[in-house]
Amino acid sequence: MTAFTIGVFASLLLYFIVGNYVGKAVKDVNDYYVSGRRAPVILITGSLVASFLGTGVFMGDCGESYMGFMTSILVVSVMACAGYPLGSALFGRYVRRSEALTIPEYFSKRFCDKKIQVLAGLITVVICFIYMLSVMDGLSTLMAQIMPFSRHTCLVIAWVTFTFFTVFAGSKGVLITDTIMFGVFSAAIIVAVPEVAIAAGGWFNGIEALATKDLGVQGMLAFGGNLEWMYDDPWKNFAWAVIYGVVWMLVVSVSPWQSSRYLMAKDEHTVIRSAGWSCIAVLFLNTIVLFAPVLVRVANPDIDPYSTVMIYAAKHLMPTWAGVLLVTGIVAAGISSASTFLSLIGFSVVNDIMEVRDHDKSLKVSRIAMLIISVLILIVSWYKPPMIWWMTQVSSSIVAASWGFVAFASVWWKNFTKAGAFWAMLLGFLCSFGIRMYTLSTGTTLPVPLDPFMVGVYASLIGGILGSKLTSVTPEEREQLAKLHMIPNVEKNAAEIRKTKLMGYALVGSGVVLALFLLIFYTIPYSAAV
Amino acid sequence: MEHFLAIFLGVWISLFGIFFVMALNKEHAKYGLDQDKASDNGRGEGRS
Repeated sequence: MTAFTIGVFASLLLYFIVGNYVGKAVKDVNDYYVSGRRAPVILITGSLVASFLGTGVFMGDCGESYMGFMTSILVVSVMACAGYPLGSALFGRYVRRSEALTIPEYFSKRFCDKKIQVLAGLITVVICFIYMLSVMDGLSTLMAQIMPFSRHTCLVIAWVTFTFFTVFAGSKGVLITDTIMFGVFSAAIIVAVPEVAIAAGGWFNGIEALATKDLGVQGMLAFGGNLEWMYDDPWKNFAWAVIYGVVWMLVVSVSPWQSSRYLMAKDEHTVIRSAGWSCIAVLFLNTIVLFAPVLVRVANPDIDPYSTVMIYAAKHLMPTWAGVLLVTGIVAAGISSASTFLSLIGFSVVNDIMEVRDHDKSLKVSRIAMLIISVLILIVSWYKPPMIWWMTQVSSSIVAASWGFVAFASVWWKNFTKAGAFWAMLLGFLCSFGIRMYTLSTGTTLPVPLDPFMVGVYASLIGGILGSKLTSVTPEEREQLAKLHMIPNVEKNAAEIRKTKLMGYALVGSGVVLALFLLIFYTIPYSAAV
Repeated sequence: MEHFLAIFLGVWISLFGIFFVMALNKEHAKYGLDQDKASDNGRGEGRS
């Protein structure tokens, strides 16, 4: 058994033990769905970041960066981070205030309508299912590269681990294991990136080599990136990146796998502070990890398949202990995302679609439903060819198109009616999903203004505005909106308010630090070398 | 153009930080929860 196999098995065993321990403390559906609404900043932050950074980043985004698309991916990931302050201030805290068990239930409470809860529940199931398939692809591909087992055996090993603690311990288990995994992959990134830079002859030598040598791909660090990868014009690539930056910002703001974490926060200050810390953590981790695959190209420009670039780095470009930490970190990122998605699918099926209201029954039914869904995901993953990066893009653009407008308008547009919300969600979903399936099945690349996300947004806006103009807000809906805007007494604490505002100033500072980092470590040495 | 990228991304995050503070300030002012007015025991003067 290699050190990699031992390291991965040891980490999986740890999550297994922790899940088992936490699961025993789950007493009712409130514990199971929203961890008793007592989670502190550290657990919400850990879960927000761990749900967001999965194999899609370590294998999908890193693979794209290795192929010369780093600048576009960097734009997308940094713009996405803005979704934390935006989402928590304008949506997340209101979701927490509604005391719903799931995000679809929030929509139902807000619009006094069960139909929208079922629709939002179905969309959650579809999106999380697609996203989970991409995570399963990433996990099995990664594990098969470093362990002496087939891809299918690795699939089962990973599946057993996260299915056990997610089904048994629910959100309580997911929050704690997510936070541990957040620690593991953060340490992995902090250790691995300098090691890769050393292997490339040092950070600045690596940047110079990328600017001046022929490494198989042109424009690795140029503004428009590799012009043979997606669009042949730098500004088209930038436009694509800005659009997907907005898509991912909306995903971070309102997607069920991010905003549902706020339901578990102990108060609204916890919501806002965890969002701030998550923004800083993702900004830092995602930015530096994208430079690793670019520098790997200096050491080896011929890695195939390109999505395994970080696995190659772990095996060949760093000491064994650092490689084990990196691989364990990537597995942790995948498992943490998978557990969050599985729990969301299970909760939505039971609470939003089946509408099991008997609390004694609900816990048991939730566990059984989650297990059945998990088996289904395993079966599909078993037969489906891996396609990590595009699947994360598919699910992100669908959620952003169908929920983005509805989520913010549900809090901030007083004339938004239940019919408007329903049609906005349905049309956004159908248009973005349908067009995405068309482009994927025919291999078509549409012009940027006709991107599936953009068309989904147009459809969602038309549905929302027309639906609201043709119907009227009911007194019940008006009352629900008014209740949503009443600040609970417990939140009115001067010392807490002061502390929460500090988070905003920290975000302003982190923007300045980011610009300085990019100028000093990337653009100035790159421009000097070109 | 690469310098533009670095500055654009830094400004993007900072702008949202500013928005974050402004949104909190606006809400606290609206409900009379300015730091000086709100009490430390969780019973501010804003309506609830």
